[in-house]
This record gives sequence, structure tokens and C-alpha cells, in this order.
Amino acid sequence: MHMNEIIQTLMPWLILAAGILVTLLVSVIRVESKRPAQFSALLTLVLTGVSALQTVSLPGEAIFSGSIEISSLTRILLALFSLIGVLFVVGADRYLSKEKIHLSDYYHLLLIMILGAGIMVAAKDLVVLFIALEVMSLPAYTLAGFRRNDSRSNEAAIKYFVLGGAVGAVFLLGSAFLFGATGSTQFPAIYSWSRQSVTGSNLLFAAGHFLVIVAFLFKVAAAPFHFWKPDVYEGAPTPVTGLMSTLVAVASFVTLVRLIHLPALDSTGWEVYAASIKTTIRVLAVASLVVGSLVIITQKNLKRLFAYSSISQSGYLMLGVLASLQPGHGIAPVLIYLFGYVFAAVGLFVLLSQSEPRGDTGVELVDLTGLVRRSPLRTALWSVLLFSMAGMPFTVGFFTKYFIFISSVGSGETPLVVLAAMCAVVSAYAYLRPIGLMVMRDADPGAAQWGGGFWSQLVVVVSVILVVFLGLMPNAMIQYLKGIPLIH
Amino acid sequence: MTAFEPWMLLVVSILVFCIGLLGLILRKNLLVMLMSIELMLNAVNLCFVTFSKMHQLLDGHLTVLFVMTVAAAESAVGLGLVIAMFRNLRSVDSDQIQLLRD
Repeated sequence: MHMNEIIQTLMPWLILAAGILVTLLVSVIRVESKRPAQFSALLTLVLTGVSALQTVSLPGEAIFSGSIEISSLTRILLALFSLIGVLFVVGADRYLSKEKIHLSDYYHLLLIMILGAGIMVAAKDLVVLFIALEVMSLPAYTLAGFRRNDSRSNEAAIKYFVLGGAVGAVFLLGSAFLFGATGSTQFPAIYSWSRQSVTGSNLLFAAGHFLVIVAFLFKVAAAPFHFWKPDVYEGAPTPVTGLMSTLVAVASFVTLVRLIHLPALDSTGWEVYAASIKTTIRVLAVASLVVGSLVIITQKNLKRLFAYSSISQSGYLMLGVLASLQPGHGIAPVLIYLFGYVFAAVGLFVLLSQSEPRGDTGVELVDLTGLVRRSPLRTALWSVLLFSMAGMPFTVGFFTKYFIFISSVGSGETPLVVLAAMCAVVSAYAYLRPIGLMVMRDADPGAAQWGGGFWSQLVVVVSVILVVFLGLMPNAMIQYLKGIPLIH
Repeated sequence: MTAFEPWMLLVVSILVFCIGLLGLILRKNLLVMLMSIELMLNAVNLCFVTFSKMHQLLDGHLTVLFVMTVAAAESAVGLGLVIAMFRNLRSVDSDQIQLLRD
């Protein structure tokens, strides 16, 4: 392929990479002011998002001898990542000043995370995937420890780092095994190897595939690989927790689905292997749903509550993964669910970051008591977003859950769907209780003050508008994302 | 000179990987845990080179270079985090970090 065409195809990614350098440079030149870095990060993200959206309908193209494939899926995801980035740049401004950690580094680290995530979803080679994973994770560790004088933030960063390092090594060992079994690290080569091997999977291949999948199960925190998540969520600065819960989660989950589809599971000789993969995913779905929905009820700290919420989201998403394993089904249910979740989660985490600091403890349920009298608008915003998390009608959360249930019933997983619906009902209690505390209870004397500032409130309003708009008119999003072709 | 059989190298690399993993789980000193992660990555490097030799390909050798780069970046970040923790807690013992729990 001609050099110009490669540059053209990669344009959104190149803009982002150039923007990182500019932001870094600007933050070194003007140390005393954060505005230039902030502005440069915003500009970069907007340009990246726009240029990704402009080219979204172009056909997919493999570049760099097949190591990276730029397709509609990767472009739309990069646009989503840019949107998340914009919202967390604008929404975190006040939180960072309030916590006295307003450094320019936040902005370029955030951009690097987005670049890593953007390459990760486009990678067609296990080694490129590993490098992208680390490019996304290393700034995430740093950002998790961004409140560097707070030992809780230190602890979260260390826990995240140690786990992430181990996950990276396990993923790499899996890649080495896959390389040994198939003679290549590229997805298409592994796929065609599995088509040709009539004997079915061999042990080395199965071990490698198992390890790469386990690595990403840790990343998306599907139970029983979830234990690290509540601690890291609680200790990290709130906007960074939001980034982990949206940006990292989406990129990791899409990559997980692509890794599950790595071999041609429908070719002859692979029936037993495909069946065992399905059983494993069923077990993971049940475990994540049950753990997430039951433990969430007992949580008092709001960040831990959202950590368990995201564990149960992994459970629902596993249903979508099961549906995608059925021949003829795409990953549309998974994508739609992820989009719906992201729009609500961004608003929730920005809202959460609006509480005034209370020293050592995080934001507890008690801080929400009597909020309706102190701040009616904020109560309304909280309620809409929590309704969406609980899957109430007229919010996007309802339709994304509904869509994932329908597609699972279609693929013959009715018992699982019944269980998932029961879990949704149980966990609805955990989402509705905060609303009850805000509306029915008087303010507790120890309750925290809330104050957001215009920009962070604007981000929440945008998120609420998206949640309600897509909740009332989900068809546009569903039709659009359904049109996105399957991974191979 | 007698050449190593590929399976011997594989056994060694998996053993080293397991030592790293066990070190990560059992040891309490954060610096030792960092070293354990490095050990795991280097075990994988050996694995890649072995498979590369088996398949008569150069891909594995190239991968090793990338992995070493990433490992260096990772330990830089890790050391930074450990130093930040040491400043606050005066300890690099993972038993000391138990502020976050249910």
C-alpha cells in the first residue's frame, strides 16, 4: 500500500499521537498554567473524534502487513473514546483543583490511555495488542496514584499495577503458546490455521488461548477474577475511576470478544472446543451476575458500589458474548450495551466527583441524604442516571438490557436470561436506595457538601440528555451499531 | 557443541514463569514483586525465542525486543509508584497497604 494511503487511513490515530506530543510539550513550556495543556488535549480529542467519524463508513483496511486493521468498528470506538476523553477533561477540571492535583500531566496521560485503547481495538497481531495494552495501562496506573500524597491512592495504584503487570505477563505467555502452536501471532493466520487443522485444537493452542482469555477476564473483572476492582475503584481519583470504568472497560471487553473469536470455532473438529468455551462463558456470566448483584446491596461506599455494578455489567455482557458465538450473530448486542453503559457511567462518575473532599473517607451513601432539599437539580440528574443503571424504562439502560436479553433468548440461553433478569431486579434495590435517601431522608449532620461548578455540571447534563434521548429513541443507535460487521 | 532440545528450553521458561508468579503471590516486599513481574516477562522472552527457533522464523526474536522495551517502561512506572508509597507509609511491605477493604 502506498504511504499516502496508510497516512490517510491512520489519520485519526496520527492526530491523536501528534496531539499527545503537543500537549506534553505545551505542559513543559508553560509549567505554571494548566490551561494550555487542557486546551491542547481538548482540541486533539475533538479533531480525533471528528476525523474518525468522518471516515467511519469507509471499508476496513489492514495495514502494516496485517498487524493493524482499521475498520468501521475501530473508527466508531475511537470516536467513542474521544468523546469519553472530552467529557473527562471538561468534567475533571474542578475535581482536580479541589483535590490540589491539577497538573498538566493528567491531560497527556489521559490522551496516551486513549491512544492505547484505540490501537488495542484495531490490533490484529498479538504482539501489537500487548504493546497497545501496556500503552493503555501504564498511564492508567500512574493516574490511579495521582493523589500522590494520599496513601489510599498509592495503594490503589500499586494494586492495579501489580495485577496489571501479572495480567500482561500471562497474556504474553498465552501469545507465545499461540505462536508456538500456529507459527504466527497474527489473527488472520491463527484463524486460517484453525480452519486447516482438521484434528481440532491441540494442547498448546488450547493453553495459549486459555491464557490470553484469562488475562482479559482479569481486565474486565468478570467474577471470579474481580477481587481487585473494588479496592482500585475506591482508592483512585474519581475521574480516573470513571476512565477505568468506561474507556478501559470498553476497550478490554471488545478485545476479549475478539480474542474469544480467535480460532474458527465453527470449523469441523472444533465442536468440543467451542462447546467448552461456551460452558466457560456461561459459568463466568452466572458468577459475575450473582456476585455483582448480591454484593452490591451491602455496599455503603459509592465507588465500591459502582465497582460491583461494573462486575455485574460484565455478567450481562457475557450473555452478549454467548450470543455472538452463535453463527450469524454479530457483536451488536455487546456494542449497544457498552455504549449505553458508557453514557450513563460518565455522568455518574462526574457527579460523584462533585462532592467536597471529606479527608480520608470516600463518598458514602450517607452523603446523599436530603440532597433534594440542598440541590434539586443534582438529585434529578442522579436519579435519571441511576434509573438507567437499574434498567428502568425510558432510559438507555432499559433498551440495552432488553436487547441483550432478546438476543440471548434467540441463541437458546433462556435459563441464563431468567437468572440475569432476577439479578437485575435484585440489584435495582442498590440503585434505587440512593434515590430514596436523597428524597425521603433529612440531611445527615455528617453529610458531605456538593458543589460541581458549571463545566462538570454541563458534562453530567450531556450524559443525562444522551441517556434519555437514546432511551426514548434507541432505534437509531441500534440500527447503526447493528450494521457494524463482525470482527473477522 | 551439543544443542539444547527445544522442549528443555520450554520447560525452563515455564519453570521461570512459575517462579515469578509464585514470587508475586507469596512475597510481601513490593520491590521483590516488581522483580517477579520482570522474571515472568523474561521467561516469556525465552519461550518466544524457543518457538521462533522451532518454526525457523524471526518473529519471536523481534517480539523479544518489544517485550524488553515494555518491561523497562513498566518497571519505571512501578518504581515510581513504590517510591510514592514509601514517602507516605515509610514501608515497601505489601502487608502495610490494607487501607482499602470492605
